[in-house]
Amino acid sequence: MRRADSRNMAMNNHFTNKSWDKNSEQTKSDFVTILAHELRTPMTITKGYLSMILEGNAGSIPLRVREFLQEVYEGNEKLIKLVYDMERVVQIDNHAVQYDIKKIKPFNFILEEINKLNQKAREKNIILRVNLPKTADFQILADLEIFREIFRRVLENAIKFTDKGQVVVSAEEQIIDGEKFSIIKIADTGIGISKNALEHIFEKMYHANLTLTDQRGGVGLGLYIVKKLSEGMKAKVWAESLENDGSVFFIALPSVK
Amino acid sequence: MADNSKILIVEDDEAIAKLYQIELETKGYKITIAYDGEQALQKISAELPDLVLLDIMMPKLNGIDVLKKLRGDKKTKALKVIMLTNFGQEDLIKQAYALNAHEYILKYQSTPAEVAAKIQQALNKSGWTAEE
Repeated sequence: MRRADSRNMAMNNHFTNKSWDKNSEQTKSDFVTILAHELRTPMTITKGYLSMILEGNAGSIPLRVREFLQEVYEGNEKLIKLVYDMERVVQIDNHAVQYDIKKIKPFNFILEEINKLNQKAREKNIILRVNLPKTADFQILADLEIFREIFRRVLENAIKFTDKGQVVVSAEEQIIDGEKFSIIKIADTGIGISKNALEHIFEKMYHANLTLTDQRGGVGLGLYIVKKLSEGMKAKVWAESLENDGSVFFIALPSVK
Repeated sequence: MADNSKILIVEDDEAIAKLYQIELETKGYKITIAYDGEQALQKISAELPDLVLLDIMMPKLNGIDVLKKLRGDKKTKALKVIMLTNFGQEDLIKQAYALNAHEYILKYQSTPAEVAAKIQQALNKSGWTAEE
């Protein structure tokens, strides 16, 4: 039973109340929001039923079938992430992201995000290490959920582009242009980034310029989202890298004075 | 522990409604389904469920407007409502919490088992415990 038209009418007041103009940025943004929602319905169905099968709700399944279904599940998760990124970029470009900036102590949240990704690192035989001083109870000014998203994206990236060795998260305080910042460093021993590419990695859809052999999946929205979300809360991100040697990503967040 | 609380699933997509119905029935909950906002209000008034799983984008009346009507009625003012939607817009989340939604769950981020765990938590948060 798909009744998108009547459902859209019921949602109208939650998007734009302005008169409809198919070329306006608001209309395009609303369209992407609805499109993302409609794409998520079949993804939710796939995720839900597959998870029930994998949890044994439909009876026991042969090991080989389980392996295959697990792959389908992971594929669907990638689609979910892709749709999220697409929607996030439109929100960013339309300045529709709302920041709730407060004083936060990010230490525990960093550990939480690391724990969530530990399994992924283990599957790749990568060591995920935390090198935060015990005194790292530093306080920053940030939107907590957006900070978590930025950190998670950078850490995921580090794991994705590292095939052996380690990813180390550390932190320190530094003065940049006279302002005190808490800097979170994510250093990996991965494939690194060429000097030429390093200048562009935070640009939207930079991956589209890469040759097929340079591609590692992804459409090149992740670091663009990281950069823009950081700017939105007066944080800074940058990277240093040596090709075939590894990369270091820096997230600098305004410290509480 | 089997829980026979009554849950109303408000969801216009049949496959999704069935998904949560199966998961929750195996946990012992009594499930009713409403396929649009108006039907949801009728069923809530007739059956007074213990908890409502409420979608947002639906025909006739959207989930936020359903929640507004519930909060404006003495009988359903304190009814436990969990928003279960694929819309993650900050303004919708804020509106839902301002209207005392117990939780705001994004369907695409949660498995049915995770949704069931949140339901159990919400049902337990009733201000009393079995020991009292």
